[in-house]
Amino acid sequence: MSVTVDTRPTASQRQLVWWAFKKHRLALISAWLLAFMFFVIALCEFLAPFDDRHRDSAYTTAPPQVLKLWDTDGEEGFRWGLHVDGYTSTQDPESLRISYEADPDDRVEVGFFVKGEEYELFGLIPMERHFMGPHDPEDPMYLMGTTTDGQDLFSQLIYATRVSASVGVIGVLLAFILGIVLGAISGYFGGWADNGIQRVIELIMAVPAIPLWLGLTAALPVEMNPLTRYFIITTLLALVAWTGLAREVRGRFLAMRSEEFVTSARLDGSSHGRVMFRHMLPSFSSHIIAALSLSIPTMILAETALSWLGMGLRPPVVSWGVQLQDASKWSVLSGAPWLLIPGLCVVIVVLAFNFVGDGLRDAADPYKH
Amino acid sequence: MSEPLLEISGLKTGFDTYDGRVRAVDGVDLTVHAGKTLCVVGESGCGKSVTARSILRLVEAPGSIDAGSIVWRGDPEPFDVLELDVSDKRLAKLRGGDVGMIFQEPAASLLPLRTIGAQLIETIRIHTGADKKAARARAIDLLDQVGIPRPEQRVDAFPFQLSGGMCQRAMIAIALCANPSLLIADEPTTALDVTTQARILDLIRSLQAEYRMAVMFITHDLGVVAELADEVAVMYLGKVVERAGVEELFADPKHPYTKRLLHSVPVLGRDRGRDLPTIPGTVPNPLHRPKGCSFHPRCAEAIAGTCDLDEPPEIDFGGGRTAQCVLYADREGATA
Amino acid sequence: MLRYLGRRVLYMAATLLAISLVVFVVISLPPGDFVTALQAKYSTQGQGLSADDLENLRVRYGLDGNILAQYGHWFSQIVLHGDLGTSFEFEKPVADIVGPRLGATIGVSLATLIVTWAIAFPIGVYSAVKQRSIGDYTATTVGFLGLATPNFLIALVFIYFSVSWFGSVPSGLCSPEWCDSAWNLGKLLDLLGHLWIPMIVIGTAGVAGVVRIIRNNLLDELHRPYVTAARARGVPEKQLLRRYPLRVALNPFVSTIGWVLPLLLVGDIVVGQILSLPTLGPILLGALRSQDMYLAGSIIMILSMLTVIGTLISDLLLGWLDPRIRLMGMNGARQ
Repeated sequence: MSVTVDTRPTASQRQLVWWAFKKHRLALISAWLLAFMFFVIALCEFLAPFDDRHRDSAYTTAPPQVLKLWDTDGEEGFRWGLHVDGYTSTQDPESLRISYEADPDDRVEVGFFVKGEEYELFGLIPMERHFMGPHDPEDPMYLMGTTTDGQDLFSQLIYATRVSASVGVIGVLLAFILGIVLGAISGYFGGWADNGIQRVIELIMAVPAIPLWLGLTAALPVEMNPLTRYFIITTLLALVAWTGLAREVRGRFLAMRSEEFVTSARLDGSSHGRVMFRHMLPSFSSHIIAALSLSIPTMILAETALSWLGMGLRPPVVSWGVQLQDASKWSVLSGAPWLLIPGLCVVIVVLAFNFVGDGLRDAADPYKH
Repeated sequence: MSEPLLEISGLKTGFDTYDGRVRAVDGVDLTVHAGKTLCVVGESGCGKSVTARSILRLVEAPGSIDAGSIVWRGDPEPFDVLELDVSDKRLAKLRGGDVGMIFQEPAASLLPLRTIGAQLIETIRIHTGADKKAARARAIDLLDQVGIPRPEQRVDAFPFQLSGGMCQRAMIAIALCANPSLLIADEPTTALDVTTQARILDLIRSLQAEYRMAVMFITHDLGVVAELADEVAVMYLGKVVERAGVEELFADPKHPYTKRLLHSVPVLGRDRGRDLPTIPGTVPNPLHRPKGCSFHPRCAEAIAGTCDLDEPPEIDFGGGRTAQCVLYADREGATA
Repeated sequence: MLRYLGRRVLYMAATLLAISLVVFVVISLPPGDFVTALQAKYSTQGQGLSADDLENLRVRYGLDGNILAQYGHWFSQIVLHGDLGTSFEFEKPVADIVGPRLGATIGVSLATLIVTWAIAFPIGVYSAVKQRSIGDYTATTVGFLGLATPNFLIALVFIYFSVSWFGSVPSGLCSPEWCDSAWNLGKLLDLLGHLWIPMIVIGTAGVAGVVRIIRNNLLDELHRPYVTAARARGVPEKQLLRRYPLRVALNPFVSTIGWVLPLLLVGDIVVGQILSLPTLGPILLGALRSQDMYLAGSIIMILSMLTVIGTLISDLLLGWLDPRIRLMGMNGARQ
């Protein structure tokens, strides 16, 4: 709008961005949600009642339990105490399928900081206490039900969050390094460097991403070490996804190249590198952060789709996509809708990153509105 | 003095921002006389553009007009523009019909995807009901009048194929298409280089004589004011602080702001080897308008205990001269 | 315009050439070549192949030279003979497997593209013009959800409800009784009855994305100086919207074809299998799982080609719509 209202502020750019961001309520809530997610990721082993390899073949595809504070049907009548109901199983005589139901008589005592499987917190501190779990580690406590393999969906979900979110974040960081360097060179120097880089970007963009990823991951040997596979997949995602970021960075550099402060920095004798990364980049760092958090969802969605198709991460590594494989058979899914819970996680986290990104992008131009 | 054509009184226009409502125009009274040129001058952000836009009801959300009246006397039956319904035919006739308007960024004010001819012909047809052929002939004629060479070809040019000056000429042609009695020019030369600027000003002046229209010229350039104006209104922070004929204003400025404004114009010869005088400080944030006279923090003649407390009175010097300043409060005819 | 067109077509050819390189890399990536894979397959069936047989096969498939020669052989076979190679899984020429399914893929994608646009355009315009209305909020929320939900998840949810309500999963593109019959009204209606499911599943993300693009672009355009200027000269509001900002917002809309089309093709890969569509998606997945690389590579190549052609069409449309591009080249419009 050309009708400018002159509000000469005396706040720093960072303050302005923060103020504007705070007014974007959804973005703020989402930021808290993501902070919580990273907290969960950090304390994954402690927060999950069971190990990600824990498997209880006695309870496969068991429904979620309800956490209860008291019960009234015990022998003493009303009784306090955190617990879940155990399961009784019945087998369908025709289909031979076993189904589970909550059994109010079978009380599984649940407590905080209970002893369970051993683990190392942050990969360093050996511990065996879990935030929450059954007093007897052999008892079933499956708050989100179990998978077709008899694994605790809740624990798996916590581990999967770590994998999926980290693929997104690490992948974007890798893509970001590529994108920012090539985008900066392209936008700042222009000419043949720009031309060359732009052609490469256009080429990569011309090949539909998912089939390209599929083709590349299909070449990975099946028996590969899960951790190596994780890193290769993340790198492959980044190798295809950096183009968007590079374009964004290029556009900013291009627009800013002729600004006076850039010319004066050059005339002051700053090197090209210094001008690019000390003077220009910081002036649109908010835009970059916004672009970053907007590209994380793309990564997460790609990883989820790849893994769901069986072409990405593979068990024993669990990601949301790997978890959702369980739900692909409609005969299983129709009796076990809780298997879709990881999908809900995908949607929520992707939305959260999008909102934070949008909020940042709007906040990055405090004068725009 | 000739007949008043447009009378703005008590106009208040505000914008909603994150930090509250900003009163961009805060009680402006202006009169444009038929056939005369009124220059509205002031620093950026003083509300002169918003005033101009309010006349044709062009203020968009988050802004809106809060109070005042804008009476159009160009029709046999005068009416208040602010009381019209947006779908009122009189408003449609005013916009582009009786009142032509040109803007600061000529290239951005034309749609890049359509030829200037298409946009010109569209306007001609809206206001005159001419058929396509006649409208096109008129368009070429208008382009010729505003000094665009080879108008038969340029009529089919896209805005991005023309220079800024040429685009502004095209905008003027569009503004003229229905023989307006008022041309509102909102800093039309600010984005142009100096030579082009002078040519556009010449054009506006000659067209004004030819079409016998009034011109309301918004600018921050006192040089332009001296060249073009019959009357001048000086605005500061949403208010008209001084009103005068152009000779009177330059010869005998009343308001301290006007004085300093005139003083900060470099004069060839006089200012050699001296620092150019400036007005100390900056325009205050309209959200935190100073109490009393809004100019007092920057005013050398401010009277402590008065200027920082009370709104300055509007002093009428007669003959259309006014100044909003307490320095002249003991004059006869002063109205608070 | 002719120069612009020529440049675009030339550019498309270059892109296709480059894509063929990428695809060939994908084909050659797995350890071992086609003949080794074939040998492994035969030996598990107890039929060994002699060294001579192997050598002959290698020569036939151009696998005896270095990697560049192999690429040259593969590429010339495609261009000169339309020979995409042989699927070792099906032991049939790739073209014979891909051909019949190509039509269904293009059909489903085109139908979805058209429906996507038909739905997204009015919603996007409404959302921008009536910004902050209930309709806008609804559209924006649904749009956000649509973009955040992987399409296979939509398919799974769809299947869950379909099974719990109707006890079965609607699948394929036609009912058994119509599948082999000649085209007639009944078959067409049957097809439409089936088509809406993949359309919803595959098209949701596209609709959400296009709505967002239209809305954001139109919102930007609605406050440009040329809108104020047009209003100031008395252009009536409806005409103003149609001829000015909407006209400008049409450009990004047309260029959405460049990314909606790949999105739809990918959607087909991901959900084609669960919806049992007779398209290329399920075949590609199978081929990738068994490392049947000629087949997989060819399908990736075809999908890329469809995308590139889609982009070409959108470029040409853009050139037609936008005089800046037509007269000054791509860079004119980016300013």
